[in-house]
Amino acid sequence: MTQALLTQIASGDMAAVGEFLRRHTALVFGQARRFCRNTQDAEDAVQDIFLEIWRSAGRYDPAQGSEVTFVATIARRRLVDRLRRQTNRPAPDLLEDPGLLPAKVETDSVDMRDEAALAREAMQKLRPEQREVLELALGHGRSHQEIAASVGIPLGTVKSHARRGLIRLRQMLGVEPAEGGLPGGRPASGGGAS
Amino acid sequence: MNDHVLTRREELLADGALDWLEGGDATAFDALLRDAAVRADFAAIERTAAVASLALGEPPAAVPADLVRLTAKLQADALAFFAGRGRPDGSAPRLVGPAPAPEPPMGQAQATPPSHHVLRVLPWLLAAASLLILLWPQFVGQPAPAVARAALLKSDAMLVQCDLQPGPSPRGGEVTGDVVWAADRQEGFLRLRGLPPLDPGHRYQLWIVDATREGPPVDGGLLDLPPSPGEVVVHVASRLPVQKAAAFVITLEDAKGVVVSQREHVVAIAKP
Repeated sequence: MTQALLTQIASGDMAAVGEFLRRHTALVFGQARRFCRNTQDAEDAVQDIFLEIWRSAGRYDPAQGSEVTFVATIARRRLVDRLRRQTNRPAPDLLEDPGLLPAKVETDSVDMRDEAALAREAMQKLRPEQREVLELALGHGRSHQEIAASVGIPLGTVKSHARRGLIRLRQMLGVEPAEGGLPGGRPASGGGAS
Repeated sequence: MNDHVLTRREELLADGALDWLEGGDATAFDALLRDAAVRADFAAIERTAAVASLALGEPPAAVPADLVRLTAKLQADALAFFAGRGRPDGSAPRLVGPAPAPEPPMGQAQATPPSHHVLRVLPWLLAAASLLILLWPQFVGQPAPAVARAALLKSDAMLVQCDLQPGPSPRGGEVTGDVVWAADRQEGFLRLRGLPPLDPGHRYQLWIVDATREGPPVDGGLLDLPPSPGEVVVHVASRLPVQKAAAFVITLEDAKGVVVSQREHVVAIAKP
């Protein structure tokens, strides 16, 4: 089990920053590279993501989920938001408090590679068409319209594959809501990029 | 709650996690989220999406030098961030590491004018600057993609190599070059010379034709080309798995790139 560093960083231990970056920079850069069109954009995005992580460090609760999931969730949100702003597509607002996000996780102690391996294994169990659509949606932030055009299947079918795939993934990964729900609220999805 | 409502709810929550909500669905989604239990359910689905994104590809193996340089930038950012803000709990930051900085006496910051605030932050900015100076050789001396390409050629990867030929569009000029593609690593390098520089509204985009895949070619990404002439090596990573690369095609597109090329300006082609 790897020790969570965000709580140390939140308490001002700057030595933990170096170790945190060593653990997570490649993960975040890998995500950013898949969302961004070039390396410079990806690096800008990574800097933006880590600033958000520093801002949110004090809200991280190890009891609610692993550190790597916290990082991946913030990264994905910022990347989607960035992509929407660049392409002028409407974006749902981001959740204000990432610390509230992670649901209760049974595999709390696994590190990034274990978690990625579990997810990869689950992805492989999906139907190929579901996996392909989710790869484009989650890996590259593609809209359903873009996926339909790229893969050559109807819009409704794209949505259906993605929804079923995601719900199936959730079942396989055993991601359950935290007991009693999450405190706080989520901003309305109504449109404009944040 | 009956099955129909549950299915609709799952659809909306999945669309929300994928950021695919539109129109009436967005309104219905917002209404659903007024319920705390639904918010918790949505958080679980969004977390699923984040975890799944971890599975979609390893961190890029071809850019360790880039990561070192980027990590240095991030560390400098972090130092500047915490120096400017203080600790999240409101107290002063504490540096334990290669660039120690003195902590100002407690109370000084509270009773000092803005110029003293600068003095309080200064050690942190100096620490960030020191870090940058320390790592500067890695900024300027980072191994170019050409080095990574050479390493790939020497590796035991399953390589496909082919020369680049000018395409039918005259806008590609006298482009020459080659492609090396490692099928087992799903990455490769494009070596180019002679592609004309473009105005800011246009970019060159790479496509990979997969012999096993129906439909349009796989997006290989927009090319980052320096304005100066001369040989340039570009790292290539496809947007989708490529089973059998049958051709590499460079087209001229809008600056933001396209999902499917109309192939109006095919400027270069390489076929194994």
